[in-house]
Parts: sequence; C-alpha cells; structure tokens
Amino acid sequence: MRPSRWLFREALATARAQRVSSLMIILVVAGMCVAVFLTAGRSAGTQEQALRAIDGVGARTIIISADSGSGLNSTVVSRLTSLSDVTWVGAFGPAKDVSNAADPSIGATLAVRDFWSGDPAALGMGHTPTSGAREAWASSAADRALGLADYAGAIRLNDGGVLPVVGQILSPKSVRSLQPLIVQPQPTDQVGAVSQLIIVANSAGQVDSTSDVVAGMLGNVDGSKIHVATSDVLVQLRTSIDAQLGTAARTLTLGILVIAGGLMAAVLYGLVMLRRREFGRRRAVGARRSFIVAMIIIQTCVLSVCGAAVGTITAGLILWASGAPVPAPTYLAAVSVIAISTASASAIVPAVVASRRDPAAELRVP
Amino acid sequence: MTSLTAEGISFRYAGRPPIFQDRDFSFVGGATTAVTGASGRGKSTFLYLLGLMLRPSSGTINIDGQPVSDLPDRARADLRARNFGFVFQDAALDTNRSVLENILEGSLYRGDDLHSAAREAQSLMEQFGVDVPHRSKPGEISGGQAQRIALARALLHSPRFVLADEPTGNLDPTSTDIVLDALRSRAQRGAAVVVVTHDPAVVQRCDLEVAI
Repeated sequence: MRPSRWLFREALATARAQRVSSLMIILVVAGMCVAVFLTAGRSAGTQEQALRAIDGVGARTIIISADSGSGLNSTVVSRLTSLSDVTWVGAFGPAKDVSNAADPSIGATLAVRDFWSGDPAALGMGHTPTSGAREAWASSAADRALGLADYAGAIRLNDGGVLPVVGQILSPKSVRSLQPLIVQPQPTDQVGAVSQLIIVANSAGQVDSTSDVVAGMLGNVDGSKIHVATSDVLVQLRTSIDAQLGTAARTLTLGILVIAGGLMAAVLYGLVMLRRREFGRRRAVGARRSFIVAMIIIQTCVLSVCGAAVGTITAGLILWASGAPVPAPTYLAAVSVIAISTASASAIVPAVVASRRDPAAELRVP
Repeated sequence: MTSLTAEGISFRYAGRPPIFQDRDFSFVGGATTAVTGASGRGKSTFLYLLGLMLRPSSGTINIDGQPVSDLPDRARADLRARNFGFVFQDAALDTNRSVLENILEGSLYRGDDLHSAAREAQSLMEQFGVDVPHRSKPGEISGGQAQRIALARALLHSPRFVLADEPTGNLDPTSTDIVLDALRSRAQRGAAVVVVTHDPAVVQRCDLEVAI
C-alpha cells in the first residue's frame, strides 16, 4: 500500500476512534457554516433575489428603435450575435396590419413583423426559418386577440396575402413592448428593414458598455432616426444593490470565518494537548514529524468536510423553513470550501506543536 | 556484531544539574543487560538517549560504530521505527484503538505489508498468551495483558535493539515470566536487549548489569 494511503487510512481510523474530539471539530465547522449562511448567506440570498427581480423587469435589455428610412437592416443581427457580452439579439421589421384570414370580422387588426434572430428558439420557435418559408407565429395575447383556435389558422395581410399560423411564440420581458406579437420569421441571410432591435446583455452591469458597442456596429444608418433605450434607473439600482449588499455580505463572511478559524485553532490546540501522550508514543515508535502533521491536517480536513455538509444542510433547512431566500449553490459551495480551508489551515499550528512533543517527557511515568 | 554504544555522553535538562557526565556504555547483540540505579538517577532518561528520542548534551550514541545521535530528526525517526523496539513502563497503548491496531502501529511508520504484519501480530499474541479478541480495546484487558501487547508491538519487526523501561513493574509473576522470557529469547536471536529495572529478580535473569 502506498504511504499516502496508509496516512489517509490512519487519519480516518484515528478520527473514528476519537469520537468526542471528532464530533467537536464537526460541530465547530458546522456552526461556522450555519453562522455564515444565516447571516451573510441570508443577505446574499436576498441580494440575488433582488437582482433577479431587477433583471426580470428588463434591466438587461437594450431597445433600439429605428424610424422609417433609417437604413437599419437585418444584417446587424449576425454582427451583434458575435459579441461575447450579448445573450440574445432579435430584430423586428416594420409593422404590417393583419387580421384573421377566416373571418376578418372576428378579432382585432394586429401587426405582424418580420423577425430575424440567431436564436429563434429563445421565443419558443421549434425550427430555424428557411428562405421563402411563409409562416407566422403568434403570442398568446395575439392568439386571443385574433380569435385563432389555439395557434392554428391563418392571417391575412392588407395586400391580400395569407400566412398560416404554425405555432405559439413566447413573450419574454425583453419583447413585451411589442405585444401582442405576431412574427413572420426570416432567415438571417434574408436582408430586410428593421424598425426595432432588441438586445439582451449578459448582465445589467454590462448594459452601458454594450450600448456603446452596439451603437458602433449598426452599420451605415442615419443616426438622427435611431433611438437607444435602456433602463438606466434599474441598472443604477442594480449596481447599487450589488455593491452595498455584496460588500456587507463579504465583510460579514470574512469576520465570521476569522473568528471561527481562531476558535477552531484553539479547539484543535486543546485537543492536541489532550492527545500529547499519543503523539509522544507515536514519535517514540518511529513516526516522523511530517507524518503527525499530515495526519492531523488530513483528519481535520475530513472532519471539516463532514461539518460543512452538516452545517450547509442545517442552514439550508432553516432558511427554507423560515421562507428566507436560500443563496445560490455556488455561494453554498464557495463558503463550504472556505470553511474547510479555514479549518484545515487552523490545524497547521497545533499539528506542528503536536509533532514536536518530546516523547521522553510525554512517556515518563511519575 | 550488533552493538549500541554511548561514547563520552553527558546529558542535562535545561536549568538542571547534569545527569551523566562523560560516560561510556556498550550493549551488544545476544545479551540482556539490566540498567540499575537509585530512583532519580536518570535510568529512563538514559534509555531515551539510547533510543534516539533525546540528544546527548555531548558525546555520541553509535550503532555498529556509526554515530547516529546527531542525525536529523527524520533519520532518527526512521532508525527508531526499523531498528528499535520499545517497551514502556506503563505499556503506553492507545486506548481508542484495538489491541491488534496497537501492535501494528510501528508497521505504519515502517511501511510494512499490513496483512503479513497482522498475521505475525496474532502469532505473537498467541505466543505471549494474550487470549483476547483482536478487536478488544486496551481498557477491556488486564494490566498484564496490556504489557504483553506492548511487548508484541516492540518485537513485531524483530528489532536489533530492544529497550524496556521497567517492563515488569506492575505485573504478576506469570506475566513477568512471559515478558522476561520473550526478551531473553529475542537476545538469543541476536538482539541487544536493555532493561531498566530496580527489581533484583529481574537483574538476576539478565546476562549483564550496568549501574547508573
């Protein structure tokens, strides 16, 4: 068997054999995690909830409106799709009046728009549009307004042309301004005029910079006929919440980890003192100092993993039961890893002290 | 021939008068040597010096003529693990581990094969008359059995040097006989056995006597 496996096995066997001290370490680490999750974690959960709510009302959306004759066309979609800061791009053509083809007297007259996107599935479309395909997709609001039978039927354009309605499109918050929405999907290589360009940035914090980049990539357009709209107030609110709650949570987390790390070091030092005769015996029988240091650190690390799991589950249940927002899994994992690292680091000094016990002094019987 | 010698050794604990000054000792394989002396004269300290757990203030400890007391800690730990077997005054077993795990402890530091070491450990337990389940904890066996377990731990790897500190101090006559017979048997097989004792009966059964 490799020495490292022996060492690991011995650390586990020692942890199992010394149940009281092992339980103490598990409880301290679990307490550390519970304290962080119920304070800073609750704050982080609230922060994430608030940011999600702000993002949900369109803080990440940039809407570019183009007046007639602006020169903005659908070739902009492929250019903007390649930007790394952009999650989604959709271009909508000028509105064309349509009514229910079966009976124009049923329902209202709505607008159908040509639609270009590198990711039409984001609106729930099941296939990529092909050149020459004549079909329309309707949102639930449009379906109701036109009196269609569950996204089936056809719409008639003012010029007399008829488009079959083949399915339902979703209406995420980014396109709510165009409701009730009916689109005629177009392949991206089919060039056409664009009256509304909707861009969703990766995060609200990137909206400002993305807007500037997008403005420079619109192509040969008449700037006086282009209007860019973003939710500036929401973006500022988001930035402010992110900064203030984030700083508070980080400070609290750091403080708790420092205090708990000190407590852990004190507990471990106390346990080492209780076990000094054991370490003296191990040294006398032939253990190297490095063996004892590694054994104590591995033992603490393994027990800390158990403690972090217990603490995370306990805190998660408490937060869930109290209806408080539970932080994201990445936050839980990060705090657990930091707690385990803190506990393991706290073991270094006691482990070195243990390894330097004088066997002669420890084994002497009065 | 196996030899463990101390040349011109002196030793003192910090802030205290010296325990030895410029003394020479020699222990050879094949013999059991009793180390005697009044209480407080440093018999146990001497044993710890021989066992490389303490460094002499001056002088050297030699194995087969090679000085080893000034070696780095890691090398001395390896020498202890492979060449020495210690029997402590009070057995010094780990009360949280089974008797079998206690016997096997040194194997861990030597990197021995655990399965063959466990077979040898069980054989020693039988030889020393310790008829208890291998999973028993030291708290579940008698003092005499505990000392025989400690003896098995010391002898498991057939060490060249066996250092025993009052190994029969609190034992009944039967256990005393088993322990002393095992130590003498090990000496007959070539080990240098050093027994610290103040018991005249034990001294009588040793081949040599060194007074401190």
